[in-house]
Amino acid sequence: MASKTPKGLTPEIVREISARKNEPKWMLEFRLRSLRKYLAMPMPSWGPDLSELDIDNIQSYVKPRKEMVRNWKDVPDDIRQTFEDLGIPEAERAGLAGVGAQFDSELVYHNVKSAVANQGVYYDSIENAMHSKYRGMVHRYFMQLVPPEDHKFAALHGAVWSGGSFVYVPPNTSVQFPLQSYFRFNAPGAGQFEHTLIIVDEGADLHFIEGCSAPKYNIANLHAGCVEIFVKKNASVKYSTVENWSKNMYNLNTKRAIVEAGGKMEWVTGSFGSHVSMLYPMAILNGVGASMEYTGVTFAGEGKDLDTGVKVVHLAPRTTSYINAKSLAKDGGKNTFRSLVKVTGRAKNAKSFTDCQSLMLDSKSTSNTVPKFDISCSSADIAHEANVGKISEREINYLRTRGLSEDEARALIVRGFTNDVSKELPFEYAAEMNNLIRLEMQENM
Amino acid sequence: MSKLLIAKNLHASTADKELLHGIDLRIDKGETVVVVGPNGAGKSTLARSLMGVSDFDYSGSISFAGKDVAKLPCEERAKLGMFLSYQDPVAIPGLPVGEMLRSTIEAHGKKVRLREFKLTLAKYLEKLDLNPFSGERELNVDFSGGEKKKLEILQMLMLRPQLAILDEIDSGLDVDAARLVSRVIREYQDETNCSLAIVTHNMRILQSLNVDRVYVIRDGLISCVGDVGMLEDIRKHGFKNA
Repeated sequence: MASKTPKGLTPEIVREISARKNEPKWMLEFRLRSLRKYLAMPMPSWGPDLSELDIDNIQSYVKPRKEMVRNWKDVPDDIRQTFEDLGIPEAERAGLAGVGAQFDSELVYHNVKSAVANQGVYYDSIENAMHSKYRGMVHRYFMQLVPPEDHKFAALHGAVWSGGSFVYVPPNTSVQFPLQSYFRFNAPGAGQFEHTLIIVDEGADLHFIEGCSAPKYNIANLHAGCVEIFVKKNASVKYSTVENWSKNMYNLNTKRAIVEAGGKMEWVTGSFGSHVSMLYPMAILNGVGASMEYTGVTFAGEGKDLDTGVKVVHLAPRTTSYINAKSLAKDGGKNTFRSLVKVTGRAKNAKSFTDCQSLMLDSKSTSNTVPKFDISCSSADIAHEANVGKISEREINYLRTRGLSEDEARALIVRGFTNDVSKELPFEYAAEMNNLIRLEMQENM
Repeated sequence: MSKLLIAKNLHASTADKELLHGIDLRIDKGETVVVVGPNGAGKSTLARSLMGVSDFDYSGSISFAGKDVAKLPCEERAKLGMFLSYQDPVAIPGLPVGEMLRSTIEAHGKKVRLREFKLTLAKYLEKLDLNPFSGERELNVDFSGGEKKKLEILQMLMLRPQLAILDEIDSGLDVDAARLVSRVIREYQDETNCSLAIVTHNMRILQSLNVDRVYVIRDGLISCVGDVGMLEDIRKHGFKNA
């Protein structure tokens, strides 16, 4: 069997992917249903220009040369070196409860520390989970939050998904260290469609970190992953992402969580790369007192159109949401912050606060803010603040008189602007994010 | 005493107005020089001109530590050992005081050892009677006027300049705080033999300092140069005789 599927998308390709994974019948049927939806749905008519994305030209599945292993030494040398350069095993040693590393369409490494496994935490590839004692859970939850009918790229994902992780945290279990999945995309002209399914049971808590990167090619790559998180009663999940896709990447990812009573969902996002991004993590606050916090920074440099934001739906009384979004635009980059706060009639005394700040680093870049509020409850307490600013000469001069060059001063001011996000991340990831900001600031200087 | 800074025929102007009309000024090593004058005389403009802050056009010559610095940008002057404390310190939201200082010390080409840096910062925060967590707070954000002035002195202590130009450092400080800051500046000068150029209106900051020379500036010109005795005359009679 070839290690790549042909370009384009047909039922045969979908059947081939499913057969490679030895999937149960329900999953094959799900894939084929998703494919039908995908073929019937139009491309989005809003947001960034996707006209140069020729999906028929995208390779939907690229298999690495070796099956997934649980010992780092067994990962093929060149792939291992790529991840070594990205600091993945080092981060695992430094303080992660478990690591998954995906190279193109499949996980090449997955490991969870025994202390965490002994707590009853299950963390494995979604393919393995489908054949484990958690197969019922996979069947019950898979693409329930993001159904294929949601949008064209959700349908595409449903048809060709491959790789990703399944996490189950049992009730009242606190996972002391974060779990991490790292997605590396190496094949030119391919798509990556990993699926992350996380279920955190009642009273438990988890921090999950997702890192993404890819080298630059001259042809378009597509990332249409999907993250679904089920936060049960009084549970809490923090999902952190530092994403640095290359400039040829279309990042059309979907992330969604449903939060039951007393539960808490935190999204922490640093988006630096890609040619086009459309990414709006969402939380459905389904139980009394459920809450969501979103802290995100987006940095659009030259040739980047980053359309990002957040969505929250308040379905129950006393639910709260807090959105803190920062964006930077430089060298003609385009940022759009798009948010939706929906409060239904049942969500008595719901509270929501949105703070959206944009920093323009030059006059040729663009920053848009598109907030949307759909409030059907008179007792809701909703607030929104937004501002777009520039770095002032006074700030730069002040730091210059201390001995920093103009570029160093700008970079430090930007770091201050994004500190809200980096202080939410573990040290190594905050350092990585600060490094990405520094690289973005240096580009074209 | 050896000469540290010599400014000759210093002019500063905006697009439509000349603010300094040819100032000569000298500061020797270890010396404390005071620049006084009525409001709007050009004191802060002179301070910023010496530092080379790029909000004016300048002409004239400035040498510092034997180097011609007139054409150097302010960051290069800072690296040579000049320091300007601002009359109105600038707030930089999100940027912690400690992070700014660490980055600045590194920009000066010095290696920062984190533990040593934290100990030094804590020592100076205590010396200045600032909250020990001030290093983690955002630079000049939500600090009182007096605390901001103390943060300027904190930066001076951490960056260890040869020449500190202190622009209205005592404004916003209460009596006790002014006494404390004056003493801290004096201790720093005793320790390092640095020079001070103190631009002041109300002169409270001078209480612990030994003033070597006084420049009176009026309408962008030095109208008078004298010794510490001249300050007493100005206190009694204002600037009408100066």
